[in-house]
Amino acid sequence: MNQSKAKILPETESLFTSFVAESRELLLHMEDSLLRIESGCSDGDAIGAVFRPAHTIKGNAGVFGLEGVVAFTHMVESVLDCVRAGTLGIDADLVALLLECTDHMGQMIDRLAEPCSDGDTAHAAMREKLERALSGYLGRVSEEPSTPGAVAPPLTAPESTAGSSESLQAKEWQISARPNANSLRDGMDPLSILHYLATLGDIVYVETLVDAIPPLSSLDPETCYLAFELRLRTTATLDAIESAFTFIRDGSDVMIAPCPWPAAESDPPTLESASATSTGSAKHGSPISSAPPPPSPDGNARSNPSGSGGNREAQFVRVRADKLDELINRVGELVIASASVSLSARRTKDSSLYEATSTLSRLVEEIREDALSLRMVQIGETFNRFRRVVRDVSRELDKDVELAISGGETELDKTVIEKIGDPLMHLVRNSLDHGIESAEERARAGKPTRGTLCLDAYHDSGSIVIEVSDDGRGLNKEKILQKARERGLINTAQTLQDAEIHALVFEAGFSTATQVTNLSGRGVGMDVVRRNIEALRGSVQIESKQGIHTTVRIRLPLTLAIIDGFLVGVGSNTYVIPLDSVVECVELPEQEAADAEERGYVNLRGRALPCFRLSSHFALARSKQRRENIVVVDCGGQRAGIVVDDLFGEYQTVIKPLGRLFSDLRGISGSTILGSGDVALILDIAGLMQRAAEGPQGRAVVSERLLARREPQRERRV
Amino acid sequence: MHGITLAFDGHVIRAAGELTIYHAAALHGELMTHLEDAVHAELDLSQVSEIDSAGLQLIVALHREMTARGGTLAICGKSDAFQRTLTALGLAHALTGGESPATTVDTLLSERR
Repeated sequence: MNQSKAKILPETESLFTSFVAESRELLLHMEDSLLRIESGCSDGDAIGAVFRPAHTIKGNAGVFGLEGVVAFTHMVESVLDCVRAGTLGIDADLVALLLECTDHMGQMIDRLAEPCSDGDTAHAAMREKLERALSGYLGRVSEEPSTPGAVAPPLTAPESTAGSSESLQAKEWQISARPNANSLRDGMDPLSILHYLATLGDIVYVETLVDAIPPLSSLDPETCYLAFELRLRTTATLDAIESAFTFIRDGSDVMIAPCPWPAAESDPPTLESASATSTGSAKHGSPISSAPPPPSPDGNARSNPSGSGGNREAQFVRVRADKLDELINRVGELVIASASVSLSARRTKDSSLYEATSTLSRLVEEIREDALSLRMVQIGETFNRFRRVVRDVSRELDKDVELAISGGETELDKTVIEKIGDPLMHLVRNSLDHGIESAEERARAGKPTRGTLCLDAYHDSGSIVIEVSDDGRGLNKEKILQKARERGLINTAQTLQDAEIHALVFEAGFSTATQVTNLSGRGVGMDVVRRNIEALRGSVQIESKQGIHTTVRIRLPLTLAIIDGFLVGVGSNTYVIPLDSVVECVELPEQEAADAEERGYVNLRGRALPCFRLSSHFALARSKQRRENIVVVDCGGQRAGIVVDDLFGEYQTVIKPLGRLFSDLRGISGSTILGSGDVALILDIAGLMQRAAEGPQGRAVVSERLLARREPQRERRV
Repeated sequence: MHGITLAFDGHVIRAAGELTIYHAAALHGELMTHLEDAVHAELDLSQVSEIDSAGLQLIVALHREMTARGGTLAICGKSDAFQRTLTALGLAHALTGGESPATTVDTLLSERR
């Protein structure tokens, strides 16, 4: 049963890509709803929420002629339809089966997207197994017909596999469609929609309206001027008919209304009699039914989704990611240019020009915000994906774990979201595997037998914090220390703070499975996790109390492209400090300057502030006689002072990646071009802080090693 | 057959190949040039292997153009592909000047099943 990509023309390739993307999204919705049903917190429409995505996938797959997908999805849909109609009860087994079917559909789609022949037989065997199980359920339904009257009969009979369109419940629909003018250019021939409709039933009548075709001389041969009136006799639902128009929906006028004539005499008026959809303009079919539709328990579930579903989709525009990148890049250039203009304006001392440029700067700032927000995605969807992981893994391990998700509405850059998935997966699995104890162990420790795993996200001083926490056994400090000494990561004499001990699990030496299981049960591939996070300019921390909890806190920048910076000068060089990490700026009194040099810290309002000279760090010559300033920075709760010569103030800046040559450079995360055309380096505060914490002597070997291990900054698109 | 060829033989135009969106622009240009002053033309579509909405739309436009000039455009040969599409769209009337607009599509359906 090898599914080949069914003759997809290059022109429809982009449509196919969006089909794949949409299907994957829909499958996630299905999965989510199934898990909801399983956990028992399902509302009345839960099954509908599983049914609809399946249905849309089937419809879309039909447009592409992907018969394998259509046939399989059809079976799934039939079972769901029975559940929805109340002829089949849903239980844990059925949910498990449906989840497997969702996975299988996902695989089918994946295989279409990237054709591969690996595991064909396994794939086919899986399919056969699932199909057998599904038909088992369907068979059960036909054996135990519901008592008439007890349950409302399904409004639409599940399309039987024979696909008879002449069944008693066939209805006629009047469809008017004026595809948008670009539909031909976009590779969506209305003809294919007619063909698709013909698979749903009988097209009783069709008329193509050609009135809109202009005279030959002014005709644009690639614009679609046609409109269609047709009547379709089918057993398919309104959803199914609508799905035929999915690909031309934007900007097209489509009106679907039940036809009151021939068929209506034999059929009772139906719920959907007045339901019409239109997206291009707000049209509504005039209500045709003479009698009000009979109340039915199924009523709300069926009429709402088509309306709200349609509206929801209309609110989104799919845009290619590279177009967005280009826009953001361009906006970045605009930011630089505008800074340059402001600079020049300030020099001219022309107040009206100055005023104009400050308005311009404000607008540019707003555009920047808007452009960046286009890339922002809520993290909730990523979090929700873990429901399935938690369910599966905890079953596998025979543990009882509840997943609590909060902060799902927190937004962050799409690129970051995409790249954070793997590290999160790692952390979640780790928590389940090693953190949360078995039910017996938990009972012995006096904890509730059901473990809790929390995923949380929130904004904190210009960065995003993602937390993965569990109420499991926590980290065993003694064992970590022991291991670290064995591995030579620390001296036997060293005394470390808790945070430093916990940070040890991110060392590469801790990364093999056997050691970890003997150990506190943490650290599988944690070095990889850290590396991935640092590649995103983020940092990771562990907070843990043995026997009580473990929290892994990931701190990420909001975006990778543009930052608000604070411009400082050392000698003739200019540096940018990310503004989010700047707490305050104070003057360094001359009498303190010597102390700062010697001891590595200064007295700031009675508190010791570790600090260091940027000029000595980068070995720069500095002008002696000038007074110095301290920029107090904060990174992950730690404060440090950076001693610089000049403070130039806030500066919006576009991050340009450093070349490969500088990839090992410490303390620098990128560069930027100033309005004057000079290059300024962007300081990597986390890296520099580490140094400040070390003090002048370089306190710990481990920190030195930690620094040395800092992954080279990955090249970023600006 | 890939692409489309138009052969102009007096007032007869022989089209062979794909009358589709991919070639619609070229086709449009060529027809405009050759039929600039023509009053009567015959279109032989017996060698058309594929035709889509764009192709049909172009022929309808051409037909209307000729009629508007007081001339005619006769379709003298129809390939199966052309006939099928014409039927599927219920468009036969547009090219003959006002037959019954309603067309059943039994032909289409029987082929699709």
